Amino acid sequence: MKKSSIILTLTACLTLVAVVAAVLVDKQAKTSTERIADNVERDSIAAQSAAIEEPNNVLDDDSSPVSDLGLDSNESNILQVSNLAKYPGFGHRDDEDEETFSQEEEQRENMIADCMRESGFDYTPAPSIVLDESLLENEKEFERLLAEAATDPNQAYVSELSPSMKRNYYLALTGLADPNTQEGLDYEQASNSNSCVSRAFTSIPGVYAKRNALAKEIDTMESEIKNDQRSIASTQKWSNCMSELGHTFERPSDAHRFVDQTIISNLNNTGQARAGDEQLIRQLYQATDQCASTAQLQSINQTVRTEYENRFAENYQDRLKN
Amino acid sequence: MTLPNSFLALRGTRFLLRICSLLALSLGLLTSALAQSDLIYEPLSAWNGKKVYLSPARHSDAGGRGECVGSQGMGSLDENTSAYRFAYYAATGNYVGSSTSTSIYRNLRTRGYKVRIGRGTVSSAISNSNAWGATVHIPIHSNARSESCSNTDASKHGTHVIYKSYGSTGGEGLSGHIKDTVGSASPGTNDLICHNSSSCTLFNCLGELCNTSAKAAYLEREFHTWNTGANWISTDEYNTWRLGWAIDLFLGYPRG
Repeated sequence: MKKSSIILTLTACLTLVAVVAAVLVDKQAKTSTERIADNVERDSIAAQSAAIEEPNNVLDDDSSPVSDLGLDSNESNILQVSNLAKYPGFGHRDDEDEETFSQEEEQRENMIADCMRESGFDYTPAPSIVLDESLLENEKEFERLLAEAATDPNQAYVSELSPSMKRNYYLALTGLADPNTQEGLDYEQASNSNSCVSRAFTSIPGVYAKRNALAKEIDTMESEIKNDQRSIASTQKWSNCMSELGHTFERPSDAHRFVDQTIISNLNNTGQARAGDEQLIRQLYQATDQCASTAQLQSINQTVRTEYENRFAENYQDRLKN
Repeated sequence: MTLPNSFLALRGTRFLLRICSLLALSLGLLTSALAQSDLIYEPLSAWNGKKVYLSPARHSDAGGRGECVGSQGMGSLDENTSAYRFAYYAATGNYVGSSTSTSIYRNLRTRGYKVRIGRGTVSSAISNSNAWGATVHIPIHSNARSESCSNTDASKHGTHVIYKSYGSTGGEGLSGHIKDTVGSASPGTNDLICHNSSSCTLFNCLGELCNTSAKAAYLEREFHTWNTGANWISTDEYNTWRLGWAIDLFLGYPRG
């Protein structure tokens, strides 16, 4: 075994341990608020360090849940339905869209395999592999996916092709002699080719294709939403409320930015959490939630968004429907 | 530490070793991969609705691109393998600085993002990023210039980020944040962003900038042709959280 392979193997195992540790840490963080609270009593130094890094975890069980800066759980029932929700791929039916995407991807891969066969080549479908925490619950499925992830189903076949056959293989597959070319002009030409990938995407553009095609228009709408006077007034109200509670931020994202800055400032000093920071951040999260409620941030933003999205759906209905 | 009642906790070492072998096999095949499946990592907190496509370098001549190797440089890594490490740790790593961390800011998944790492060709990365509806697309590379590995002039090196779409909400804005967050950690002092049409790149237009639908930033995180930079690249895992920081800054810290 080559030295580099041994190093890679060791790296892989260390990486795996990190992955498993991450899953375990996150699982524990999600399910054991009480246990973390116990840790605060048992080991105040360790708890201070954890608290600054995961401020949500140190909230008492009877505290209001702080799921997000700027969102108030009390407002969760007043969401209005946007007309854009009628159309798949625009962020209103995430689970459904993701399921559709997976099915389409598999269909495309199968189409590509059929097409390559017609061109005289073998191609084994290689759809994406989704890695989720829930995988750990099913040994067989986890092992099957890991084995699948470890294998390039087409490597053995392609590596045995002669240079000219390999070139023809990639031309048939992608429309490119070198599928790793960096030149964008090559990809423009390839997208108009009769390659198997191109044909598969022409046949199944995909659940997110319309959103991609309307990306510029969506950007314009998002900018308008951000600059709407009602959104600005609501955010200003949130900011004023925060000031009264001793925190100077213009908008909710500034509070997250502050935490990132705190991490950096700690790294620049000792690399450890500073005493007192964890309490400050906990107060910050609680204040943010309280002020979001006071300023009716979520409901106003939702009203504004729905209004703009309805206008968008009306203005671009031809492109959304066809 | 009390372990959660999960499958892994019950199976213990034997299962871990089995996974180790499979994962080792996976990484071992990386350098010669032609069409390995992309990996999609689900978020570890509520999904914020945003998707990040990370596209590590897949140069056919990796290892021969001037990489400074050995203990003074990037060890046994090359541009491709180090870029893949960066993508992996940015997606799901546990470091903030040189220490492991439980911070919810430590990687893209804990920040609420879905992350897809491209493992096929550049061609498949472009197709897959577009079909998946990626919000941001980031090719991950390291830079090269003609020099000796013993060069110590920091002013000739640094983090370079290339963009095509202008403005604070376009690739230019994303590149600026990456330059600020990753660049502040890289040893070179000449951190910069540059437009695709500039002398930063020899191509008419980089495919992953010009043919992707997502907001894109082409990251050259440091030069691998000087030992100081190559050695810094070998400890990428300490700084990958900064990519999540940059993306959060760009998108306004979306949370689910």
